Amino acid sequence: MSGSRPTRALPPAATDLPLDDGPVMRSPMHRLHRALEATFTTEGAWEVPAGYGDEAGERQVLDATVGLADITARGKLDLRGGLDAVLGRLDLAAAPPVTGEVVALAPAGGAGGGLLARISGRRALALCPHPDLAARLEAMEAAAGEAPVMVTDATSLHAGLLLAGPNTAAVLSRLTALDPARLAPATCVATRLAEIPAILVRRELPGTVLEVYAGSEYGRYAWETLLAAVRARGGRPVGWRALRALGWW
Amino acid sequence: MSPHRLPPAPGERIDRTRTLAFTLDGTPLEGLGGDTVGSAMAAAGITITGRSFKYHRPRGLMCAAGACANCLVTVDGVPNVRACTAPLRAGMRVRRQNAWPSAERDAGAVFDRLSFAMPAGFYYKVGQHPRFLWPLAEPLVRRVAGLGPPPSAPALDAEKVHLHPDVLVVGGGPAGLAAAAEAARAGARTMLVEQAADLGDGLAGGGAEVEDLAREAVAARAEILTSTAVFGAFEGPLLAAAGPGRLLGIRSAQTVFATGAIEQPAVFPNNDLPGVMLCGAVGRLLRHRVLPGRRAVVWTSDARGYAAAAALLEAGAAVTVVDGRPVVLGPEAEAARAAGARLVAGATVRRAIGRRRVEAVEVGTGGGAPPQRLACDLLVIAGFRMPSTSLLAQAGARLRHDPGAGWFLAAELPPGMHQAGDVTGLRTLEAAVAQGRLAGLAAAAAALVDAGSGDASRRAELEAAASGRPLSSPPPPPLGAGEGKQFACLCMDVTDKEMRQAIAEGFDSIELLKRYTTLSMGPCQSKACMWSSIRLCALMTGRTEAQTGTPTARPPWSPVPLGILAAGRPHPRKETALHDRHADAGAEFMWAGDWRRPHHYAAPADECAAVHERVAVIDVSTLGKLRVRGRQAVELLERLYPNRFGDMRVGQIRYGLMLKDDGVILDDGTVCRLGEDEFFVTTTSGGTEAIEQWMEWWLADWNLDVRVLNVSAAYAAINIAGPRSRSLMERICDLDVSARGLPYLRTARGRVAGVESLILRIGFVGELGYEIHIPSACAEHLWDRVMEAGADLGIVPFGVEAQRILRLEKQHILVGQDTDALSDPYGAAMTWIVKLDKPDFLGRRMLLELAERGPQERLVGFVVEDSGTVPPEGAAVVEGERPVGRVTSSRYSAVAGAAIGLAWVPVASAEEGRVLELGFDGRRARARVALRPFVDPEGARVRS
Repeated sequence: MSGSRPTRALPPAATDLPLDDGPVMRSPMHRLHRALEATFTTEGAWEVPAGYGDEAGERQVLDATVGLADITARGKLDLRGGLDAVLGRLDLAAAPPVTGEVVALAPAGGAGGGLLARISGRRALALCPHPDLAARLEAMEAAAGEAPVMVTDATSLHAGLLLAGPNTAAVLSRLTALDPARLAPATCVATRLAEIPAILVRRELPGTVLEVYAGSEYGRYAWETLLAAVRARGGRPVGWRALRALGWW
Repeated sequence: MSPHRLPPAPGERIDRTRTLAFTLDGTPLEGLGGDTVGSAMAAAGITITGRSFKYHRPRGLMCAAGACANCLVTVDGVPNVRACTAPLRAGMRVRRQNAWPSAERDAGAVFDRLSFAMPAGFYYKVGQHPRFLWPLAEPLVRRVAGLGPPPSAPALDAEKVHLHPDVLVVGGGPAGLAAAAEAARAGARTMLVEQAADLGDGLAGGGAEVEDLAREAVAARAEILTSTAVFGAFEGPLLAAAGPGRLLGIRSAQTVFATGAIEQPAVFPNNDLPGVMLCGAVGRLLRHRVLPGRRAVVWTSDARGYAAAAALLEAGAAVTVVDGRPVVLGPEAEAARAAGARLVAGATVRRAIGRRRVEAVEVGTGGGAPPQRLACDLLVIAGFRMPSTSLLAQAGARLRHDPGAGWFLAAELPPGMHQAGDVTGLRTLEAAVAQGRLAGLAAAAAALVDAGSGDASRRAELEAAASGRPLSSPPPPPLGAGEGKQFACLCMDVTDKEMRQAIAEGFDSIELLKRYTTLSMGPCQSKACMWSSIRLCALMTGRTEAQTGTPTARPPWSPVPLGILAAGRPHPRKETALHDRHADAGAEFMWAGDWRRPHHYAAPADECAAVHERVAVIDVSTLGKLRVRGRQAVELLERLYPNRFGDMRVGQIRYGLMLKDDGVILDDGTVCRLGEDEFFVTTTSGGTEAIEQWMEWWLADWNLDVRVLNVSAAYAAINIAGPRSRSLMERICDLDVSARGLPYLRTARGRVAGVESLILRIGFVGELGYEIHIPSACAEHLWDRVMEAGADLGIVPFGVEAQRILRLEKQHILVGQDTDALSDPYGAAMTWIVKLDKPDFLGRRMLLELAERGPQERLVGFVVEDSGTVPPEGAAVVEGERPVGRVTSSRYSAVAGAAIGLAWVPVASAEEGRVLELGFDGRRARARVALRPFVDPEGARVRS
């Protein structure tokens, strides 16, 4: 049936899971955080690393060197197909993005803010706080309507990592052939990082704040590889508490 | 102090307050801070730095700039270190290479006398007939010839760094520094890369000017990397460079090549003797305050030679200058004369004389006069300097012979490339600097949107200074005369005689000559032999140098340790969301493509027994999973697969075998219909990305209204299998999982352990089974609940090894393991899946032909008669002595009580019970063909 409302036939990958006990959604890197003596907190149904024992130190590296955080719990929606027909109907805070641009999602339908990263002419990634995911998914499916666009909950599809701090470019120079200077604020690109496919989204925030999305099957490898590069540049892992204190979440 | 070490002088490069102890071939020696290994050896009076590659001739310092390969030594176990450029460190253990028992008295020197037995193309001739000789000769050749032993120490701990300057300048001489200064001052992010440890190292003089230019570049905020060699230029453009512990990939918007010129040795008998040195080497050794010889002959035709003569005279050496020009005028010559040098005009060096170092030279003055013999311990060659155009050529520049420059210069540059200095033909210092400044300005203007065009009058001044023809001086004759080998290529010990012989055999182009003789293929990568090779080739073939041309320039232009090349190459690995649970359960992991998968947790046979008798669970998250949705999703699948999907009802599952357009099996998996226009397609673990691309490729071609998303990583999947699996599912799932509620090959959504899931009734391992797909973030939760709920049912996890045994018992194929690049569905006994009555699908045309003529081979099951023998995968199926087929899979099956497997056999042998003979490891085993599964051939269990 052409353009019928999406069936949601696949199980949702994130929010609307009334689990029988406790928070059980975890990133692939969970055990690695435990090995780093992380403390955990909840983000919707997710268990996320709150910190690694030194919140002041974590905030300090974000200012002075470089920090690495696990943001897999960020809600993600994959949009693919004829996007031009749909982006204009979405709740965006600015004009629909062209390829490589990132625009803010406007609060709507009970959902807060978020980002829409247009990776190519036929592919975009919407990012939002995890509790807003269900509302965003519903809104985007409604916007897609009859258009040849598929909206998929991609939260578990990608491991999310955040790199931030003045040494971010130095870390990237060890891992990708991409020129970090060309990744301006509010832009995105699909590239290879540490020999694996990745999507880089540069937030429009003071300093360099970069979200890295890699396939979750590569999550532990990506975390280990990035953390080694981060440590070599004087950085360390950073928990969600430090990110929240900076108002990034 | 060593008698070869000169008294202190201003600007010397050594620190006399630091004494560095090291050993050479086990003998304790001392050098000074700032010394190179080579200068310390020279200061200690060591003239033989090693033995040559083929003839084991003594070799000594020649260029002292890292350009030739005369001084390769092993330092602390690392072979092929250039002694002339390696900084000396305290405690270094240095060994000279390719010599036994010592470099001074090398037994291998006998090969110099046996050179008649090593003609051009030696590798293709000697020891080849009779054929049994080569296996005996090869190890000997490998042992005697060579470039040191491979290091036993682990690879370097190196990193790979990607850099993106606006302007990259290659070369730290005057032109390069001027270019960097101008580009940086114009606002471009500028990087200069120089292979030597010191800027302007190749200059005979000009030290002060270089220092001023370096200060100017640094003040303009150009980044300068020394000891970093650009060794290759690739498409992109990408320039690869190696520095201390770093591999650099540099992608610049604009590149200035200021790679200078390289001094060239001359070809004459015994031109390889220790003590025969290039002019620049003398300057470098003197800067380290080492006197390279006490009685020097300087062979020159220009001012550089006279400068070297003056420096040697000042250092206390007796000097004779041999000048090719019949009349020598000019201030340099007068100054040399005044300082006590003897001058022989209109003369050339015909040959060098000596055994372990040069003892004299024979000089010809022409006009029928007999040659003069000049006693000396040092012969300095101040001859031709070859513009270093190799990197430019690699970058795509077109080289053309320039008669004025006497060499091939870059006539056409690709976009974004600039050149300056001696690489454009030899220049005065003033002209080189002006060229550099112009190139820097041009590069910055091209790299920056807002760069101005600069001051017009200054530009005009620079252009005037930069203009003019390249400098030139008469080159020495291409060959000398008299007794002794004349080496065109010092690295590979290739003589003029071998070149002549190769040309006579028909290898008369420079490219063929290079390959046949190995000329210019040694560690110097033609830096020290290109000029001579081309001149000699031209001379011997009667062509001009322009007609002779240059061989293709290829990386690496400079030597790179393999450890540096391997830098920054992480090994990506995929792990499922249940990886930690497997590790906790004691799994032994294996690589399956990029995946880390549990091979087993306990004995695989016990795991198989659990599947057959109780219940067991396997992580199948590695399966490829594609969401296929759109108005024409059915059309897409009908075209991609040979079987039918249009008649599937929502909730049905169908096995799918994907073919290429030539009818060869590409992949397999299941296709679940989740909605009218939505399907969930699984693929093999290793084929996911390829199948996703395959679908996208055909979608683009067919322009169908369908979207495909690879959701493999989004969903973890486990397979619960065994006769008690239904009991387990009833405890954790909110669906009716009975045979009626959820029959075989049906799918449904339900909650398992409270998690919304997609449940598939399929059974790859041949028992009643449920495949559960859930968001991967919930995988551990599900696994834990399954293991808890199944504890009293005897649940155990099972790994890939047990799965392989179980699927073999059912004769289920593994695409890629049991199929190859020629396997089609008819041969694989899957005729039932091909629906030739469909209008079209990929491979249909080929299958029509195959259906008509029938397969030549069949994939069959087999059971080995000797219960103790498991033939290896790859074993041959033989008839007599002739291989007629091959075993693709084999395992021992406790259920069958024998080894079982799958094998490709001739169609005539594909009969139930037919005896096969298997050959492997020099043994034979008998097996019988089994066309039906070994377990539950009717499929009653899996359907139950």
